Formats: sequence, C-alpha cells, structure tokens
Amino acid sequence: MNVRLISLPSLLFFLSLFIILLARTVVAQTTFEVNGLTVSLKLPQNWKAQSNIMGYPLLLSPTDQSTDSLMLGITSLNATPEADLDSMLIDYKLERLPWLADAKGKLIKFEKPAIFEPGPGVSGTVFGISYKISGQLFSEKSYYLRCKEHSFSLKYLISSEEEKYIPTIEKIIGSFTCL
Amino acid sequence: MPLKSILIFYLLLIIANSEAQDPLSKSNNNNQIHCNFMATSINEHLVNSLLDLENIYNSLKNNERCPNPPESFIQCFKNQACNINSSLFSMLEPVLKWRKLTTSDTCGHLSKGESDCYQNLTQGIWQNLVLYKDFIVSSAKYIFVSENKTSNILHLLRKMKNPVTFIKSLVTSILQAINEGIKYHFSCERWEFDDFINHGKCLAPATSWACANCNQHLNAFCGVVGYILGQPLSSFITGFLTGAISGTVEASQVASPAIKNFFLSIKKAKEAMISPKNITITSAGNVAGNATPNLWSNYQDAMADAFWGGYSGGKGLALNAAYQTGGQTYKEAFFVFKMEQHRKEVAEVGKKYILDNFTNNSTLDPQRLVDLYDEFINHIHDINKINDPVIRAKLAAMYGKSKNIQTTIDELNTQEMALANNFFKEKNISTAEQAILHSVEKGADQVSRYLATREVTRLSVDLDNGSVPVSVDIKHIRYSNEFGRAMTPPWQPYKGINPSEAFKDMTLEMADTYLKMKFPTVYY
Repeated sequence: MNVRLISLPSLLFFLSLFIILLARTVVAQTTFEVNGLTVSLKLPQNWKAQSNIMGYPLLLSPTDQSTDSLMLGITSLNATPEADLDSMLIDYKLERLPWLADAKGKLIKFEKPAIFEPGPGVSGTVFGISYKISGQLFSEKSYYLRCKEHSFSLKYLISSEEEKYIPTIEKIIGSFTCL
Repeated sequence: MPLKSILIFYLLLIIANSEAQDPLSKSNNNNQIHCNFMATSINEHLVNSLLDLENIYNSLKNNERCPNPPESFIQCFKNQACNINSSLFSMLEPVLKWRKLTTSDTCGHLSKGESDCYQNLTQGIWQNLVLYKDFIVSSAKYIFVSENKTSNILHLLRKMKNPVTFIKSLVTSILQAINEGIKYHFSCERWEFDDFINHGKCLAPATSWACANCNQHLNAFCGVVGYILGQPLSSFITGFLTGAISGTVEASQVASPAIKNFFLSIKKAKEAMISPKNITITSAGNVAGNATPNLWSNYQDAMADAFWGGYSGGKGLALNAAYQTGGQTYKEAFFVFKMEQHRKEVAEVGKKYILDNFTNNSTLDPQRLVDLYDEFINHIHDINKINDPVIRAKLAAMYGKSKNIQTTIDELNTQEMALANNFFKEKNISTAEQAILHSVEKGADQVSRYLATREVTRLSVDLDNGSVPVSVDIKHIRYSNEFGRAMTPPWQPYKGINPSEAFKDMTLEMADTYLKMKFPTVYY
C-alpha cells in the first residue's frame, strides 16, 4: 500500500498550530491575593485579573475588549451568612428590592438560594437575581463560600448577550480554593 | 451642617432647570474636561442653620417680581461642578488604566480654600462608588448590605467606555437631584400624590427660586449637600449607574424615592413644629407653641434621630420623645409622623395579606375581616396612646419616676390588650377572627419595622463610610415583644400551635406582601 506521508515541515506546522490553539484554552491554576489571603483559581488564558479596583480586592475579566466589561469580583468577608435559607432569602430580597426600585428596574425572579459545594474544603451558599433595566436583561449570582476558616464572596453580573460566558465563569468559581 | 446642605440642594436645582447648556466643558473635545472659570468663594455666605435657609426662601417668596435679573444656577455653579468632575476623574485613574481607557484632564485637583461642602460632595460620590474594605471584612450579620454596593461597582465598570462623558453626566445628574431635593423641601406647592408608598412628581413648583442670585444658589447647595451624603446619594447613584437616571431627564423625574421620602419627613416635622394644632400635649402637660430659633437650631438633630432610630425603635424611643418637653418637641413631632407612617403600613399590608389569604375561605368573610382589621389597627396602635393626653401624662409620670422603659412599655401593652378586648367585645368578634386580627397585625408590624431597621442600617453604613453598622439582632427585631405581642401571646395565633413557628411562616409570607406593596414598581 502506498501511503503518502505528511512532510516534516507540514507536520511541524500543524503541531505548532495545535499547541497554539491548545495554549489558548489551557486553564492554569493561578494564585491571587485577596485582602491578605491567598486564593487559587483556574483562570482561562484569555482572562485577566486586576487587584484593588474601586475597593474590589480582585476582579477577573475576559481580555477581549468587546467583553471586558463582564466581571467576576472576589472579596473576603469575616463571616458567611448563617441562617436558614428562607430567612436569608428574605434578607436578600429586603436588600435588593430597594436597590432595584432605585434602578427603576423590573424583577424577573429571585433564584432559589442553594447550598454550593464545589469541592473538598470549600462550601457555602449561592443567591441570584434576574432583572430588567431599560429593557436589558441582567443576571447576578453571589456565592458566599467558606474555605479553611475564611469567608469569601464571589459575584458576577452578566447581561443576556453574555450568557455564553456563564459556563466559563461557573467553572472558574468551581475551581476556587484557598491556600 | 444639614442647614448648609439644604442650601446647596437649592442651588443645584436651579441648574437643572436652566437651559440645556453644558457648564462642565468649554471644549468640543469629548475626551477633555477644561475648567477655565474663576473660582467663586462662598465662604462668607455660608448658611449655618435651617433657619438661615428658610429666611432666604421667605425673602424670595415675598418678592412677586425679581428685583434683579437672576443668574442661572448653571452659571453660578460651573466652577464647582468642574472641580468635582476633575476630582472624581483623578480618583478613577486606576480603572481607566486597567481598561486602557485614556483621556486628559486639564482641570487639576479640587482647589484648596473652597468651601468644604464641595469636597464633602466629591468624597460622598466617591465613597458611594467604591467598596469599603473595612466594612466588607468586618460585616457579619449584614452581609447582604454589600450586595448593592458590589452591584453598583459591576454596573459602573460596564459603563466606563467613555469616562469623561460618564463623570460629567453623573455630576450634572447629582446636581439636578439636589436641586429637586431643595424643591421638595421648601418650594413645591402640590404633589402628584402623597401616600406612604409614592409621592409622585411636583405638580406645582414654587417659582420664587428662579429669583435667587448666585450667593443664594450656592448657599442653598451647601445647605443641603450634607443631607444627601447618606442613603439619598447612594440611592441616586444606583439609579444613575444602572441607566435609570441620565443627565438630561427633567428635574422632577430625577429625585429618587429615597430623596423624596427623606425630604417629606423633614417637611412634615417642620409643619408639625410650626403649627400649634399639630403639636400634641407634652408629657409635662405643656402645649408646644410656634417654632422658635432654638427649635430650628435643633432641627438637624431631629432628622438624625429619625434616621438612626425612626419608628423602628418602637415604644422605647417614642417614650423618650414623649417625655421630652419644650425645645425637644420637634422630636416628638417627628416621631408622631413616623409612627403614623408605620400605622399606615401595618394597616395596608395587613389588609392586603387578608385579601390574599382569606378570599377563598368559605367560613370567613374577607371583606368583613378587612374592615375589622382597619378598625382594630386604629384602636390599638401606639400612635393613639402617644397622642392621648391622659395616657401620656400617666406614662410620663411613670417613666419620669422610674426611668424604666420596660416597665412603662409593659403598662402600655396592658392597656393595648384592654383596648383590643373591649373592641372585640363591642364588635362581637369571634375567637377565630380575633386570632386572625392579632396575628396579621403582629406579622405586619414585625415586617414593617424590620424593613425600617434595615433601611436605618444601610444608612448608618453610608454615613459612617464603612464602619461596622449598628448591631441589631435580626431575629430580635422580627420577633420583638416591644409592641405588646410576646413570643407566646395571650391569644391563640391562627396558624399552628407553636407561636414561633407560626409567625416565622407568616413573617415570610407577610414579607412578600409587604415588599410587593412597598416596591410596586419592580414587579411586573
């Protein structure tokens, strides 16, 4: 059988291309400083991080300038909420509804609060709200996590056009650990 | 200081009403802020009290015609506005650098030697735009307090594509809001509606402020700016960041509900002070007369008290207010107003709850329950006791002698139960109906005061610029027995046997009812 082999230069070219493409999607476990505590996240290559912006200890965002307004904010807390989920939901509503009224927004729904346990040593709760402002749909999700006696808040705000990024953001949040 | 703030508001209001002219830029270059104006010193014209502000207003009101052509608010304020822009702009530099947003700023930092009120406003805006690390780290019970702040930041970062336009628009909008606040306080003759939920637009603004000169405008601004640095400014900035408010909307639409509510409280208290018929007999048996300069000079304290304690404080604070005499009467007027508001909320929320939950009940008539509930609230709620001179005299004597608030509250609660029982007997109300009336009133009262406490907490966070908020135990507030409704009531709750569990369920349901009534605009 006469098999035509790919030439070596071509092979090297495709190999390089593969490596480059792989590099773009590789997620590296990266450590960050959050109010003096070290946390670790798997951050995609096409995401960037910045410390201490407007009081936020850590903000993560895609590098693409067309979507760099999409943010995941991370801060530490001295405690996480410790009540039953129903009571916490009332507190969350009491906090968010006046805000939404000020924003002249319309409530779509409050997410049912849930227990969130992404991995060993990290656990907490997640709250969410969806609303419309000036016809645009936004969703927020807030994760209150405990990790090694420390508490953290991870929160993102996303528009309906950016929903395709939700799996990526959820993966980042799911990779959260503290050192 | 609050007096000073009100004046500043006035000034800003006038700017908002002047022609659509951009005072903040002399350049067509959208990426630059130029300040080419001479600084205007207002130090010698500072207003030191609300009385000063009232005097300005009255002098204008008495002039049916403007003696001199007035200067527009926008012209009077252009230097200050530019400085505020510039100062905010430099604060945002780290954000601009990270997002690779470039611009130039030729205005420099806030000029030294200007009135503190501009610096206060600048700092207030900035502090409403950023998180407070200390607060975030130290807050435990009120963890959700930071939710709104973080939402603001995430929305703000989405809007930073054109930072100069953004900042200019923000400052202009705040000036308009302050202007609206001044109008609300002093110079609106008639409002769209005036219920406890919504006050609507100013339908008949007084025109006298159009005659104000620059000094009066600037003084008005500095007189009110302090008032807005807490919740009103925070509330306003939320509206701006999320796109609900822009620099071009008409002034009457700018002021947020928080700003309007704030000034409404002040206005009501002021009216109560001025009008003897609205002043009830004090605990010492004296009748308060017209407001005096001393009253005015203490006026700002009343507002602070109302925000910090409000009606959420219940009987304890009301008793304190009722016990005060003479120059302290303004506090009493304020509390009476706040308690009236509270009673309305308890009545309205309770009635809605009854209609929602008993309409399909085959054995009870929901409309009869609603009517009975309305009467019941009017019979038992604390406002009646505070206003009743006989009860007041008795309470004052007891409180003045023992200084024991709880003992006095217990006495009030005993009287409350006696009033309720008489009412039930007179109206021939069944045991089942009694249980519903008691339970609904308790639930509505708890939810209403709980939300009020939350608002006070938020305000305290804003005012303290991030310090730990006043410690209030949520469960204590929710199940407080302060108003005579103990955890184990002497009457049978209509839900369940265990009062604690029954009221927890009811509180959750009532909270949703309350929230839908309190924030009707957010629901489809």
